Amino acid sequence: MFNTLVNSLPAIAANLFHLETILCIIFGVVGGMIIGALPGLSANMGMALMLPFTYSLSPISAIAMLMTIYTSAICGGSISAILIHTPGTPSSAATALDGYPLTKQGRGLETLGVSMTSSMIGGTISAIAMLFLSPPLAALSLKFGSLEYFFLACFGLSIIASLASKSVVKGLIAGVLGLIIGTIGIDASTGFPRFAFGTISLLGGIPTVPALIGLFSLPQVIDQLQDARHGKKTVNLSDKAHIGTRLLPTWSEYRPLLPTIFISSVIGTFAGILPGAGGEVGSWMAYNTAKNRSKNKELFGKGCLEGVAASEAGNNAVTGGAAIPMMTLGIPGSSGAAILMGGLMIHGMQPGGDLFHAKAEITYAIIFGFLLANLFMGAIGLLMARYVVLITRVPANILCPIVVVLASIGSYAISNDMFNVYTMFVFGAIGYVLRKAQFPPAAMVLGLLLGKMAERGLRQAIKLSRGDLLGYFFGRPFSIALVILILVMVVLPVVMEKRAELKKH
Amino acid sequence: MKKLLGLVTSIAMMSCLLSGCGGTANGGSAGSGSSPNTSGPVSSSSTAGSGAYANFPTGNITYICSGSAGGGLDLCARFIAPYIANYLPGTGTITVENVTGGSNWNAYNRLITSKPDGLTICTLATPQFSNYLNQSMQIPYTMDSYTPLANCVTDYCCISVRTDDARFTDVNSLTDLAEFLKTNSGTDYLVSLTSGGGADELVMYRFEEIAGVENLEGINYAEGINASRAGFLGGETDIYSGKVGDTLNMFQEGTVKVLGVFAAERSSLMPDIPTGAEQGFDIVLGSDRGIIVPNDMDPELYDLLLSAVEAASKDPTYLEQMAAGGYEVNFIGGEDYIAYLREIETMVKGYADMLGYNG
Repeated sequence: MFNTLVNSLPAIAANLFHLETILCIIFGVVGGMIIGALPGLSANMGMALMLPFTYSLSPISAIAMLMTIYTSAICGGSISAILIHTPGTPSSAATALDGYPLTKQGRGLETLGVSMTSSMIGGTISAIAMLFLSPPLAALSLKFGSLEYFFLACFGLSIIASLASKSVVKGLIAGVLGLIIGTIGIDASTGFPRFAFGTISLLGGIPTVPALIGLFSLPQVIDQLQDARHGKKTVNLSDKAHIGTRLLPTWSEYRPLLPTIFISSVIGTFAGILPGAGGEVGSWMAYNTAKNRSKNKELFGKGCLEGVAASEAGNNAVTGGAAIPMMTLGIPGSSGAAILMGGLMIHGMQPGGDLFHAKAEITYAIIFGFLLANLFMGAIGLLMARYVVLITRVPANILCPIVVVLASIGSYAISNDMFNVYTMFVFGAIGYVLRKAQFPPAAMVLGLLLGKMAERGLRQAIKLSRGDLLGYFFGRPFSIALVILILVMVVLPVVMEKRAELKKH
Repeated sequence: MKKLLGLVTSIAMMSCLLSGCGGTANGGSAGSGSSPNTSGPVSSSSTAGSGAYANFPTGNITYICSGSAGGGLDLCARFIAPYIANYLPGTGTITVENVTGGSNWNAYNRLITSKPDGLTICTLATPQFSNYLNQSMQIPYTMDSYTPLANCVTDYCCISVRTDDARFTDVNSLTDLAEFLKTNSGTDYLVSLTSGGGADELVMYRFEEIAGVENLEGINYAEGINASRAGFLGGETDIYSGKVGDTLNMFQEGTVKVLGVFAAERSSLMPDIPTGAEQGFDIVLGSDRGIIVPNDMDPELYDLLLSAVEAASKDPTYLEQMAAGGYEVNFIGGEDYIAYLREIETMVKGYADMLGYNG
């Protein structure tokens, strides 16, 4: 494999540094970032729209462009998450937790800088993994079965405990509420409708993205309008008039972020290769791990650059990771990668070993194109940051209506259905109540996102175990490892805290 | 200064938003002069169109898709849309709009409540269209609530086992599999399926019935085809009940042995694999992707649309593109399509108990 790679380097370079390819990548970066930043318009939508038009392009330009849109949209999602507390894509929900408080502290520009660079590094690391580790990683992804997905979802749900900074009970209540809401709709295992009350719209369940947009953006808007009413007529999003002049934190501030970014990239790539775990899982897993590792745990959720770096490196690493099993096995790791596969196939490139042998020149050129796209994305993102951050200078009385409009149109655009807009408003109200009562809305989001994955995994595993679930569990080393990992993640922080307390006395 | 800046920023944001939405609306349209058209035919080559509909459509036709953007149903719709537009006499375009959720019924509902002016058409997928037979879903419509126009693509079912699975070394056909299951009737064999009520589940039941075995246990991978395939390749399940389109890749890689394809004729994508009927398993079943229109459409307009879909389905560039994507074009029009759907509906009714449709 490495020989093929080295031998075909000149051909790869000739293919890649072609005007058409470079233009396609730049177009993909800019277009993807805009689509990603707009709530409701997702990476998948952007790729699906472009797919029929890639037919006339060369395979390298076409696939590189699609991959660029994918990764750039995921990166662009962080812009609205950081600046207006509205995740542009579901993958950047974790980014909003820390990004927005930072914006409020007047550090919006720096935060965007960290987000763009972390995304770039995350994407690049996943591209490198794609280049060198595709076959072993794809084989690893097959070791993950239904039971492992169940435990992986449990692992994700364990983040709830750490999200609730004040009261664990309130966090758990919000999480369980999310789990319950997640059961609405047709149960895909048996086809039985749950809590649908004969309404067609509810058969498909509560649409996650509008719920997410509502939970995050509306309470924020109401809060700001309240502030505006109480005297401060034209409050800025950031109380401080200056929005920070530094595009990036100082090196001494940035350097400690690097291990977090690196570990998050690895976690993201790993989450990406798993077809049963959606793209959102990667950023949450990275966020949680960063929090558990961090020396400044108490800062998470209140404005911590580490949180932003972890989430953004994690979700961009998912993009390359998800393409790994797609290219080697024809099993896409995410719905975005599934669209990429459609793109490969209409160019006559069947996923599989052939891609890395007979068509290696094209495949490697695509992967290098993806690598290049990530670098462009970082550069263009940093260039744009200075201007996008000006949004925070817009007075609240102008910005708030815009956010509501964006949230409504975005929710509608997902499936061209007013039901989504109503959902968004209902969850906005729920989010506001939760916020006032100091329940963490993010816990509800996790319940909603991971509940379905957990249920699917467990129910499939029960069927797969042919009645002997315990025996089945002990026969699966990855499941055992995951359970140990969950226990460590839950117990370790408590033990560490106790030890620290003991040392003090 | 501050106010001006605010205004400028908000205008900029709104225009971004509008252009974003514009992209959503026009992305799949045929009129944007993009690739598929350049090699396609010119509008004047339309086959029909006289009198009242000589210029149909002048505006935009909305092609509702009940699947999400990027899925198989969506891609098939997006691929054929520009060709249908080209074979219609007017200069209008066709735009694919994804109306998802509600187990397809959000989309069907939108179509059923639209005017039969030809400006709204919708995708139809089998056998999921008959899920209204599931009484607990309380769907107020049936398949008589809309008019089927034509089928575009059929992805036929097939059953496969892993090549490296030692238990199945001697299993090379459906007959072998039936024999194997009979000799090992004490063990349940797990079958990878994709979510409840799909064609792959129906095929499994019919296979069991004809083979006279009962030891197949379906595992519904609710996450979809990719999870189902990953479960099968990872060794979680023993047998894969899928479609030619999603098996093709594993088949070409040599990871699986396809035991039989449940089509009337051998698949052009797997010409060496015998059909079910050739082996005594007379099952013809697949996932069909077609088009429906609202009821009470003017017959002249219906025929015009039908002939445009038929012409599009024979367009060489379109066929080439679909073949590359692994989709088998299978045009069935008008009355034939309606009869075809009725047959599927009757079959689903037969398995209503097993599918849990009777509560």
